Amino acid sequence: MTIREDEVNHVARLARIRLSPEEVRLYQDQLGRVLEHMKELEGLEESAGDPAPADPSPLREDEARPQAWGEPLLANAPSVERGCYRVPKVLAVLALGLCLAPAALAKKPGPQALEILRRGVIAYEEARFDEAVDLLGQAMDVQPGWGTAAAYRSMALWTSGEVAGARRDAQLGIRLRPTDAESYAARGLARFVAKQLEPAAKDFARAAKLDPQCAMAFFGMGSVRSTQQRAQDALANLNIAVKLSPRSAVAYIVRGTVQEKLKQYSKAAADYTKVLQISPHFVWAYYYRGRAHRELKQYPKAIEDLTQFLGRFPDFEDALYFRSNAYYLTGNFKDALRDLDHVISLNPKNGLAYANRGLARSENGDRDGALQDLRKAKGLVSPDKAEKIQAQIDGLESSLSTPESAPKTEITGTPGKGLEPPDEEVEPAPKPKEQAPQPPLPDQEPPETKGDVLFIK
Amino acid sequence: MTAPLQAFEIAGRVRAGEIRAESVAAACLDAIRDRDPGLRAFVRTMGPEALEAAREVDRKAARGERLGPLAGVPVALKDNILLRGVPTACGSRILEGYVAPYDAAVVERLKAADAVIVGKTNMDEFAMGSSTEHSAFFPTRNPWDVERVPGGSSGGSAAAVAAGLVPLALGSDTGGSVRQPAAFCGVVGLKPTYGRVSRYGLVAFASSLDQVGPLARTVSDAALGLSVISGHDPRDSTSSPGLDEDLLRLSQGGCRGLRIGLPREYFPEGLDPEVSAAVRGAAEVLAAAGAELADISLPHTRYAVSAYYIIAPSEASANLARYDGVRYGRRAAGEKDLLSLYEASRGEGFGPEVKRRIMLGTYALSAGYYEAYYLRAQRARRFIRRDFDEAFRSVDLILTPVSPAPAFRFGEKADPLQMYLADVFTLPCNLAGLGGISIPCGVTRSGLPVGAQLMCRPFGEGLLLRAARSFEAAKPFPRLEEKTCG
Repeated sequence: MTIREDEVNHVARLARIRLSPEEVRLYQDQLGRVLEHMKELEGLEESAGDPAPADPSPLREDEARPQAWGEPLLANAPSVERGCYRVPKVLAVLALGLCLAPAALAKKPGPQALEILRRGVIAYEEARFDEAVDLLGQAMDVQPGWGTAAAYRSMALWTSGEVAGARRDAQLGIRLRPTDAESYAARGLARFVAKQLEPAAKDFARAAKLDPQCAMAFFGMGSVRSTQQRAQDALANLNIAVKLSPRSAVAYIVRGTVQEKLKQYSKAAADYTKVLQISPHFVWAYYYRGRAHRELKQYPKAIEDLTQFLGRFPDFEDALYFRSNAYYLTGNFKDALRDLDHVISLNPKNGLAYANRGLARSENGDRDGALQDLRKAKGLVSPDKAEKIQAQIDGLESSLSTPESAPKTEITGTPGKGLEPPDEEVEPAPKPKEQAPQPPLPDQEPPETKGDVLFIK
Repeated sequence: MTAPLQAFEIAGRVRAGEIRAESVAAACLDAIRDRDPGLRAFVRTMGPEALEAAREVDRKAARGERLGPLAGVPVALKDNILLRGVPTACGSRILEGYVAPYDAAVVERLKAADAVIVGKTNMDEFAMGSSTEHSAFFPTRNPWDVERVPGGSSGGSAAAVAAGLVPLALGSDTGGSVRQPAAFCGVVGLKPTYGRVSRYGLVAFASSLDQVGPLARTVSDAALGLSVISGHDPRDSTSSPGLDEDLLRLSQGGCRGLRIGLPREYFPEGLDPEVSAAVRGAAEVLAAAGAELADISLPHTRYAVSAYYIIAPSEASANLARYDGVRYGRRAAGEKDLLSLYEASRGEGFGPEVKRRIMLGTYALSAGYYEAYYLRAQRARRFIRRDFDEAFRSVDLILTPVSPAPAFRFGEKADPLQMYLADVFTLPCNLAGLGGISIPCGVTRSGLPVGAQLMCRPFGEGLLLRAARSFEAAKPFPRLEEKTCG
């Protein structure tokens, strides 16, 4: 007996074996004869009775056990890329560019990917944001579509002011199906970046419940509460975060900003000092601490910090403005004027800068210049501030004949309530980084300290 | 040429501090280097690793630590048993470059017993064959006659033991692959009861049949090997729990009073007269030692070849689906889509016998043929098992030939069906899940060893070893050294 050629070809296709025409002919004959012999089993039909099948093998419960040899397994594959087995397209005609990682691999990142992710998260915590973005990107190269890495990268990008990229990653991170504390915390960060504050808070709460040691959950919750202006709640969470993760610079930064909101400026300055100990190259901490020192009337320290910061970002308007305040308040009108010139050149509509320059010019004896600035300022600020500025103008004009008796401006350093320039966007605007850097962390601008003006009596 | 040391002697002397494991390993490696080129029993030796393992045994001894039952005994592994960090090819091109990422359960046990693993032995590709001619690398030669096959599929392990290159080797037995080469090479080969030895780390061929078993020159050494590799392992779900019997003690006691059945279906018309005479002679030796002989019948024996060559290839077609050119081994170059990659990698990577069996199994499982072949084969298997159940009500052991004829010449059995039919005496033992042992029982006029097979009830290896041992005591096994020296 032989079997037909098309039968051999059919079976070969089922068995995924490519046969040469000679092999097909050979197997037609050989399989035919073997199968012919097996027809003898038909003789069993007449046998009486049918023995019971043997007892089935005993079964045990499935239980997952860790296997420590993922890498040697992959090392046996003929072609590997980024932790996946590399294969050609499934269907040549459709030219689908699918990553054919087996389902298990696609879900479960390998040790290499996990290690890169871990380093990326540490870089983020230690405020090395560029490095974090880079490492988390590498983790996603190894493990494409990895929601956890995408979520952390969204936070790192957000913090670096790269809003569009942050949003893209956040969308990927939001789709994450969390299974453990780490993935809940990751999705929470993605939701936070996507401004879904309450869902984010739920994720962080879940993460903290699953793992009470999960510092990232407390950090995330602190960030949410801070954004919601719930300062005490934020503080409570951030206190736990820094306790669990003493090297989490980001947690100190957010706690510092919360302390600023609560006017606890010396605590804020201490937090920023901690940040600088962890991550000395993170110059934004100088900016924050300089701001806090200004509030604490420690003007030389404020000037020192802001100068450090401006060495890296010389055109950052707020830093220049704050330093000009500090110079002014230490009587250094010349440097105050130089900074205010710079601020006005960067933003010709900064009314407070004109107002302060007017005062500084007046101190320098440039009454005409002072009046010019104050009049300009009046048209750029809100009506109540305009009123105060008008009082200054009146004072200057009345002292025309006796300039030496011009009232010494009393310096209080008290923040000018309600005198802020138009609110900054809550999220950093996607501007070129070097020219107009945006402050790191989405929620760090202390709302009431921004627009200090010097002449309030 | 002096007789090489037995595993028992080596372990005893190493434990007693009379010889060092390192010098045993070195002598073994020298013997392989000098004499294996004429046989090609080994596909790989692990010289430096073996010497280091032996030195570690010596260091343990020097520290006064208790040494295991295989202290310093050189052991060879069939190349379908995983040894961590060492390539495992199963005699196949498709596993080119594969390095075992972990130790098989039997290897863990050997290492724990202080054995020294010296090399991997040749085999028919994926254990499919009865001659070791189907190794993709080279055939192994029978030390008794290098023009003849050593049997298979554990031909490398059998030849290595027969030639005195190692005292102990492991093989795997799916349809006779330990017992038949043992018979062809004049050594002892034991196929344990299904479930006695863990297959974790044994490359799967037919999972309802596969077992790992020892090959040795004496029954004592085979018993020693079996006692080390036996035992429960949760990683093989077919491994039987609760086996902590002392096999070495159970193998003592002679065969007086044991009832041994000779099934008439195993002594058919066409059986080689010298084989028939040698096996019947073995029965007389056992009877002289006190065993009672009985003629019995195992009426469904005639279906064993058909049942086996449907069931084993069906299981193999599923087990070997994993060789796809993606996860390990050989990958065909230049294929443009995934299906072509599978087909080309498997078409290039598998040899003719493996392709034949995968095709056969795929055919038997395919729509329209499943009932006619696979279900009928399973039914035949149940009849075969029932035959044994009934026979073991009246006898303790069953004595048969291992193979209808002694070792054949290379190329003599080119027709697959003829090769399959020659397995008729070893297949039923696997189909019924019994224990079986092949012992040398004579030499033909042309100087080829003949093997006798004893089969036992599931987990009755104690009795099996008792009978084999008393046969060995009454009629010492023919020795290759005596032949070559004489």
